[in-house]
Amino acid sequence: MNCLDFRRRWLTTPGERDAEQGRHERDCASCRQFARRGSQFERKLANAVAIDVPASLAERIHRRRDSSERVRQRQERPLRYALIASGLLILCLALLLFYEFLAPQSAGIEVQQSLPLQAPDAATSRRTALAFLTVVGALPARF
Amino acid sequence: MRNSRHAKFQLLVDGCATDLYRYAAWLTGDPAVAEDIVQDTYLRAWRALDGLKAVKASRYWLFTLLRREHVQHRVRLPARQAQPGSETMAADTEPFNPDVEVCVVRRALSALPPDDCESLILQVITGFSCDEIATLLGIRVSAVTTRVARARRQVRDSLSGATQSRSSTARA
Repeated sequence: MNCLDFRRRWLTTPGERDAEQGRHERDCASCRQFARRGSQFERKLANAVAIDVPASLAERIHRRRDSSERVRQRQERPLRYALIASGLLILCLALLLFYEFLAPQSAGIEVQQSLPLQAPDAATSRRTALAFLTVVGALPARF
Repeated sequence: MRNSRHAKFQLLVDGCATDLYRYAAWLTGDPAVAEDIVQDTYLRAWRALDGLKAVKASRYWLFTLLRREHVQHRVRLPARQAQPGSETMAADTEPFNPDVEVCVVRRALSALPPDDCESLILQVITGFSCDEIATLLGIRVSAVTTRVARARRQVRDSLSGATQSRSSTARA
């Protein structure tokens, strides 16, 4: 590394110094002087840039966030209610349609399906009752 | 979940608010506007916090957000307040640091072309590398190195000039 490279690197990235730069700085007196002056300058620059920060900056950031969140929630609330209301309306309509058009048919199917199951049971119980009465002699045999 | 989000946000505020404010102050030249921009930046960050995966990159991310906020602020503000050359805080509103040298450096920084000044300020405040600054500003790395070196040279020159004039005044 020559002096020109060293100084160019120092001017662009004074905070980063690799081993090669360190070696050159050790060997070259003028660059060492340059680096020393450069460090002083960097300190001055850092001091100049360090503008005073308001003491309550963090607190105000939090406060601003909280108030903005509250406003956002307040704005979102009517929308949420509208969504819930429309959902309920759709559900009611769906139920209405279901009971109006689909429910009687399905009930009829259930009745039809249940009859063949119940008929034999009723006939069986009637036959059982007749047989019992016949056996005990309460009814004539021709019944 | 909610607590971790708050904790993450708190980390961002603790870690970067000071540097963001300083950068914003240099960008705008007005402490009040700078604070507004910083608050807007954090608000934006809060809303997008779930998308932030790597906390390590949050610093860079926040500075990117701040630059965007600054651009939006300039669009919203009247033209007279949005001129980059109107940075008065550096030299004129100097109640915070009575050090003459600091004043001279601030004046020299204010006299720099805005692009050069921004690159240098970013480097000094954040410690970002030239690559990072180039990505942040949307320019080439070579442009950043040129700007930073040029800005440093100019500030140094004006500082040495001021020192010489001070010493000659003292001699007279």
